[in-house]
Order: sequence, then C-alpha cells, then structure tokens
Amino acid sequence: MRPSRDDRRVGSDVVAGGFMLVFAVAYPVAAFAIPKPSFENAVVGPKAVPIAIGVALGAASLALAIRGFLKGRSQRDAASGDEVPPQDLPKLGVVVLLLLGYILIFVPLGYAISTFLFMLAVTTYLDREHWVRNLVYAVVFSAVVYSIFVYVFGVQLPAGVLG
Amino acid sequence: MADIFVRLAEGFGEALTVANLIFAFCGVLIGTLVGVLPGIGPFTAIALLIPLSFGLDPVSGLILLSGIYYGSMYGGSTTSILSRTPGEVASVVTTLDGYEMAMQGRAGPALSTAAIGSFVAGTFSTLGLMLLALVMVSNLTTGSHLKVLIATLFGLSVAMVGIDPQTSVQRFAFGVPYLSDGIDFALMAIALLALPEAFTNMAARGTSHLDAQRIQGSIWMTREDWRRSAGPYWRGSILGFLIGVLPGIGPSLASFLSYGLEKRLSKHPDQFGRGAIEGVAGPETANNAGVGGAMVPLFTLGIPGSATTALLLFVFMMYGLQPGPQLFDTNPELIWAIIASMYIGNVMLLVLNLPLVGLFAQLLKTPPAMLYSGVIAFSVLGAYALNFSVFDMLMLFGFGLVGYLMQRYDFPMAPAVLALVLGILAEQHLRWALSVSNGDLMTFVERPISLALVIFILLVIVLPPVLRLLRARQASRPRVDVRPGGQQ
Repeated sequence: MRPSRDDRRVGSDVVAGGFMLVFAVAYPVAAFAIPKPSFENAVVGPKAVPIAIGVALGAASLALAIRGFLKGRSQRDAASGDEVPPQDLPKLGVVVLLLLGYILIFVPLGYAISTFLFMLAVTTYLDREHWVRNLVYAVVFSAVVYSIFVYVFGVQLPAGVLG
Repeated sequence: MADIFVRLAEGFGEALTVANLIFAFCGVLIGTLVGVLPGIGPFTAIALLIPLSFGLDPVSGLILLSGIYYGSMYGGSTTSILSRTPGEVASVVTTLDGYEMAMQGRAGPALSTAAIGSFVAGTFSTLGLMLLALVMVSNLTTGSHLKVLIATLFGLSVAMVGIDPQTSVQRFAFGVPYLSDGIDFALMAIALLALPEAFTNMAARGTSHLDAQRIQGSIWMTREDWRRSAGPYWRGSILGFLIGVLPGIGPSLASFLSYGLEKRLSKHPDQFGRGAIEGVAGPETANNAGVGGAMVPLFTLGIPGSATTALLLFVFMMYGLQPGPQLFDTNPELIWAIIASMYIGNVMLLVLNLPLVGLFAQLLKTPPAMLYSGVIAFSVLGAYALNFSVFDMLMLFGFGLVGYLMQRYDFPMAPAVLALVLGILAEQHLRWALSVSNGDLMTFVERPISLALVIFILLVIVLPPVLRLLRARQASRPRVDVRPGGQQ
C-alpha cells in the first residue's frame, strides 16, 4: 500500500517542529548578541523578553516534533481533513520565481510595464489556452490600477521607462 | 442619554456626506466581492487595503475599512449557499442548509433570508454599540493548541525586531537600516495572509474549478419563509451581538451557536441539514450581529477581540488615534460617524445584494490564475506603497514563503499577525510595570484592578480547553470541521 495521507501528516509535524526548532535555537543566540544599553536603569533589559520568547518557542517546537513522532509510532493521527490542495512543486517554483522577478523589475521598469509582464507571464503559464484573455486582463489590470493609485489616490508609483 | 442622540445625529450628518457615502458604498461592495471570492476573507482584504487608506482622512478610511468587514460577512454567505464553499469561517454553517436549499431550487429565498437577516442584525448591533462596556483580552483559538502557541511566539519574535523604545538598543536588525524601525505590521499581514493563499491555489495540481448552483425561480421569500425566518432573525441578532462582544470568539462561533439554537427550538429538527430556512436565517443574522459586537471592545477599550478588529486597531493607531474610553472624549465625531456609517452601510448592503446576487455568484467563475495573480500584484503594490522601498517588497516575498510553509504545515496565521501588533505593546508595558515595582512580580496581584485582570486573563486561557475537554467527553455526535487559521 502506498503511504496514506495520515502518514504524511504525522511526518509533517516532525518536520514542522524541527524547522521551528532550528529557528528557536538561532533566535536566542541572536538575542544574546543584543548590545547592553548605555545606561543600566531598567530592571528588565532589552534582551530578556526575546530570550524568553526563544526558549518558549524552542520548547513548543520540540513538543510538536515529539508529539508527531510518538503519534506516528503508536496511532495514526485523526487528520482533520487536509484542506490544502495537493501541491505541484515545479509549478510553485515557477510562480515564486516570477514573483521575485516582478519585484526586481518593479522600480527599474516602472509599475505599469512590470505589472503587465508579471500578470501576463503568470496567467499564461498557468492557463496557456486563454492567452488572448490573459493579455487583455494584464493590460487592463495594470492600466486601471496604475491610474487609480496615481490619479485618484495621489500615490506616486514608479513610472520607470515610461516616465 | 439625550447627549448620545445628539452625537449620533451628528455622526449621521458626517456619515451622510457625499464622500463618506461613497466610501461606505465602496467598502460594502469590496467587502461583498472579497467575501464571495474563495480564500480572501475580510482580514486579507483589509490588510491589502490598509496602504490605500493612508491617503484618506481617518473618518473616511475607517468607514471604508469597516464597510469591508461587514460586507464580507454577507458575501461569504452567497458562496456558501451556491457552491458550498464558505468565503470565511463564519459562513461554514450556512453551507449546511443553504446549499441544500439551492439544490432544491430554492437558492433565491436562501439568499434573500441571508441578506435580510444581515440587515436586521445590523440594526440591532447599532443599538448595541450605544450600550457599550465590558473588559476583555484577545484570545484566538482555532486549530491545534501547540501550533497556535508556536504561531503566536513566531509573531512575537518578529515583533522584537527593531529599536527597543525603552533603551534605544537595536534588536535583530543585523545592521540593516531598514530593519531598525521594525517590521511593518501591514506588510506581515499581507505576506502571511494573501500570498500563501495565492501560492497554494496557483500551485494546485490540475485545474480546480468551483461548481456553483444556478439560481432558479424567484429570489423572493414566501409568506411561509418569512414566518419561519422571523424568530431566527431576532434570536440571531441578540445572540450574535453578545457573542461578538466576547473576546476571541467572534462571529464564527455566533453562527454555529445560532444554528444549534434554532435546531433545538425547531419543531422539525429533522429538516435541518436538508434545507431548513431557519438554518440559514439564524446563523447569517448572528454572524453579522457579531461584527457589530466585536466593535464594542475595540471602541470602548481599545482591545481587539478578533484578528480583523486587531487590524482595525492598527488602522486607528496609524491615524494617530488610540481607541479606548478617551476616544469618546477626544474624537466623539469620529466614533459616532463610524457607528452611523455602519448602519448606512447595512442599508446599502441590503439594496445592493438583493438585486445583484446573481452577478456576485458569477464571480465564483473567475479563473484562479487571474484571481490569484491579481492578489499577488495587489500584495506587491501594498508592500511597496508602505515605504516606497524595494526592501519591503523583498521582505514580503520572504515572509510570503514562510507563510506558505506555515499554511502547508497547518499553522494558523491570524495569531502570528496578532502577536506582532500586540507583542511590542505587551513587552513595553510589562517592562514599565516591572521597573516601577523594582522587578517585583507581586505588583500584578496587589492592586484589585490588576488582580481582577490577571484572574480574567487566566480564565480566558483556561476555560476554552476545559470546555473543549467537557465537549469531547460527550462528543458522540459528528462535528463540523472548521478550517484552522480562521479569518473572522
């Protein structure tokens, strides 16, 4: 039998707890590096609360990982319905990279052009058949949003190469 | 008492100006739209629109944002009834009977009773807002407790970034000047709420589409429908308002409780779950009344009871206003104008929704690629508009990925965002209190007021798990699964 959804779920608590644990260890380390204030009148210094948060976070993550591990061995977690639809990782990767690209060209190319390119790229990547609709959508969206922000709300957006 | 009416009249005067009417209209319209669209709840919509409200004066900005809040509560019911996809947590219960009614070709009356119930609720909660009062703390409880705790601590850890206001020491800024002011709350809210939802839906395997029931026949309710809805309307209004006032519970529980109440009171409990109109009228009234109730602790004490009111608290602070008892003295016109506009917004909702309901249903057919690319583009724009910096957009990107992982591993987002806004305040007050008392922790239990607060906080923390335990004991009946990380 292939591993069921429950198996993945139990494993996921271990993974999630582990990830948070790494963060929880790094966090107090950085907290100890917080410099001492130049005057020592406060009873509780700037470090105290961050360190406490880090310790609590560490304990909670560890508990989550252990609980996930124990449940994985003894009984299957009664999964409360996996709401996240099955994920296509390459697809996610492309979308994320397109977003990063969009952010990087946002100022140099200006809002209107970068937004148009991003919308067209994403929608066409996800839905190749309707490229005409996507093209129209990308033009209308970037033009309308740009106009509303610049002319109605008076928020200056980068004009880029159009400016 | 007469004073209140004078103030309220002035509030209506302010809210009825052309500009503010337009803002209220835009608010309920946007609210209804986002309520209809899957995956974008009121919380996300308000977070996205915060940057936009910078340019507005406080009254208009707050009228717009509160309009979104209650508009979205209504919008969520449309999708629940037509496609069984609740737009937000509070509408989950509406799917039970609303969808059944739609299957039986009675979508029209189901939608009408939801709209009219929401209107009745608005009328009641405007009255309720005038009564004011009560003490509370915010406490969000959905999903696994451990994960709620971790998400909260994560939010707190992010809150620590920046200059410590008491000692001017840099914390976790790593020499990056952009970080010395701390991480912007709106940025984090957009990154954790909007982006993960967009990523998840765009990277879904295959193509997802929603099956929506068509509206057939008349949308008008029959005399029998009216008779059966009347009781649920007023019971839902009172119940929803009272529960909305309680901290951390908010409109979602109100709708569930109302459903339970109507089922218990009904002469035909067997019809529930098979298209009973009471099962739509009660919960929908209750969740809208809950919105009005949730505003009470925000206005009177400056304490948000839910994630969405926490966002509104942030908006108040952004305008340099501190909600709480003083606000009624310092800016009475503002408060009363918002209260008046909530009522006007309610009337607009009714006028807007009854004829346009079919149109809103069409929105469900928006292709996901277009919808979510728009959400991402708005998120980036929102992040940029905060400080006009590329660094903020990159931070949005980073936190968006963190949020995606959190969602993937079932961590609720709302506590993390809430912890960010309340975390820094809590830390500063704790340290002030301790330095005044020279580090003596007993200071918190020595004075009657703070002792009462401590006891109350403990109760809020301890009671929910105890109640859940009791409920688990008698849990032989099936439970309705609510998605964690609720967007109230």
